[in-house]
Amino acid sequence: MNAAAPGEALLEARGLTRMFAGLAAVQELSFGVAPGAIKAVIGPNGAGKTTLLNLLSGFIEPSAGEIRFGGARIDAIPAHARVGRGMARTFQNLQVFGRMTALENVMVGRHVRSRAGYFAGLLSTPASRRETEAARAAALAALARVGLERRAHTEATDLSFGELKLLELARALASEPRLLLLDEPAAGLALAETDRMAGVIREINARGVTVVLVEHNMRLVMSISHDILVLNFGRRIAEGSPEAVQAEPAVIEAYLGRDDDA
Amino acid sequence: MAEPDPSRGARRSYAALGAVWALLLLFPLAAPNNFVLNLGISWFISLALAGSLNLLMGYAGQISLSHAAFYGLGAYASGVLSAKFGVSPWLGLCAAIALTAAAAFLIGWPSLKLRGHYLAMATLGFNVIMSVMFVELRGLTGGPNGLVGVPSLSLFGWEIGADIRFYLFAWVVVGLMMLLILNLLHSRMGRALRALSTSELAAKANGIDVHAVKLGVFVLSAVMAGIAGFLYVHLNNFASPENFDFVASVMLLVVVALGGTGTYWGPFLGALLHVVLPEALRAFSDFEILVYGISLVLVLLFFPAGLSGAVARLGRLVGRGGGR
Ligand SMILES: Nc1ncnc2c1ncn2[C@@H]1O[C@H](COP(=O)(O)OP(=O)(O)OP(=O)(O)O)[C@@H](O)[C@H]1O
Ligand SMILES: [Mg+2]
Repeated sequence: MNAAAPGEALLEARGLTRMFAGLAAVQELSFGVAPGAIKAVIGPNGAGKTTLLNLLSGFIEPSAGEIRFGGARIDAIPAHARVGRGMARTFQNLQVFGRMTALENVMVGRHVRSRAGYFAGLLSTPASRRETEAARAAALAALARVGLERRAHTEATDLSFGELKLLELARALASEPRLLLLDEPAAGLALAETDRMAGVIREINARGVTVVLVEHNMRLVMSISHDILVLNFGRRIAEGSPEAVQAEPAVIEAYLGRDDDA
Repeated sequence: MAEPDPSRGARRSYAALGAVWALLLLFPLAAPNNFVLNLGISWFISLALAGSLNLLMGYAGQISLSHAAFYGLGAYASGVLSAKFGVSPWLGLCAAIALTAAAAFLIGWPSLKLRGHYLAMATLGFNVIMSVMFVELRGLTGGPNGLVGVPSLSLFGWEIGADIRFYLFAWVVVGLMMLLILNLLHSRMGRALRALSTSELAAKANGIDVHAVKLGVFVLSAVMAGIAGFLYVHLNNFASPENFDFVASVMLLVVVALGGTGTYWGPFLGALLHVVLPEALRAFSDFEILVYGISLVLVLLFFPAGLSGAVARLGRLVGRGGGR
């Protein structure tokens, strides 16, 4: 894969637009995410944050505009193929594999880093078995990174909400992403769990993974992000450092009267 | 309840399969006559059908209403070629595999592209079409009277007649099939298809090509049904359309549900019902489908995880004394 040139954005959107029944959920959005950064995307409910993540990860198609990842256009690449290129995501509403253990969930995250197909699987070739063993080891390591290693053999359905949030994160990590797109990782978490999540995200970022963080929890956003993009009605109303964004009149206005869970 | 290490779980499943399969070698010794022995052979064939459908339905979560049509396609492909054209049944087997694979690919490719129950509708249509073909292509299939004169199999000059010889042959073939399924379930693709059955979104987000994986498992399960058809037609030297109609497909769905969908051992129990129930209900043969329906409702009401779920629960109750 062509690596981004120094100073160039790892992820770049230009004129990104998505219409839903004549209404723009994301409108003429252009921004970049620097390699190694934690970039937060905030905005009131319905601002278009999830739509933006869906566009970036390929779950929906843009009505207009382009997306570059590592310097290459990716907007024609299907969602599953973007993962192999180093882009992983989590979901605002949990999407875990219910009838599988935590470990098996994360092993699925290794899908793009292994290749055994149906024939190799049916015949249980040595290569296929080696891959499964390697996937198990990598998945255990990913679980350890989020502090869930002791829950490895528990069915996903028996995990707590906070643990499931971490499980999704571990599964995304298992694909060895360069860019992690997180949709409200702290939504619904208690205070202590939120702090734990903040620590985990910071840790992941410190190991070189670039993060796009959609989040309503301002305490979390302000404490870990390097850079913030503020959306309202699908448009950018501010962008910059946490301090700069907080001082921006347009941001204050957009949030005015809103009683956020910060 | 904490599951044990999955690699240990896998080893246990292999050991259990080996033990069951070894025990099945004793069945012919215990069978009092050829009739009972033939029930054993029928069980092997039912297991191949239920096991392959379970892979698609239980693990990958895709509903097919034409499993019996693939079963029939395999049976007629090899049956017609060998009975009408004198082709070796082993070439017939290759034809059965190729035809079922091609048919499944053609049905699955477009219908699996769409979200929703398009596969169920497309396969329903396919089963109806195949039933009409089995009846109407009289010159080839013998029409409603059935295809007669299908030769038995022979291996290195040894005929595999409908007795202990066929029992052993089916023991090998279906044993391999169940082994391959177990292998698959513990592989990357097995995890992928279990994953996509609970969340296609998350499967996609983890790099799984959902369409390709679904298409693969659909073709695979169809081919396995085709191989079961090959066994059937050369066992009975005969094939008749009503064994492969839409009702037979629904019945197979019921058998898988009764056994316990998405459990490896479910089809073993489901296949047992599939073989034993019709014998037990011979007096009510007209109401067979009704009885199936009622028993399905009852089982699903009282044992939502099917018979294998009920057995597992019983096992846990019994094992509570000595277990962890
Ligand atoms: N599939 C869809 N069909 C129609 N409208 C949609 C669809 N998805 C999102 N929208 C609309 O697009 C707008 C942006 O929604 P989006 O989910 O991106 O907001 P969000 O910023 O993630 O909000 P929240 O903070 O509540 O998660 C909303 O008005 C929403 O109703
Ligand atoms: Mg959202």
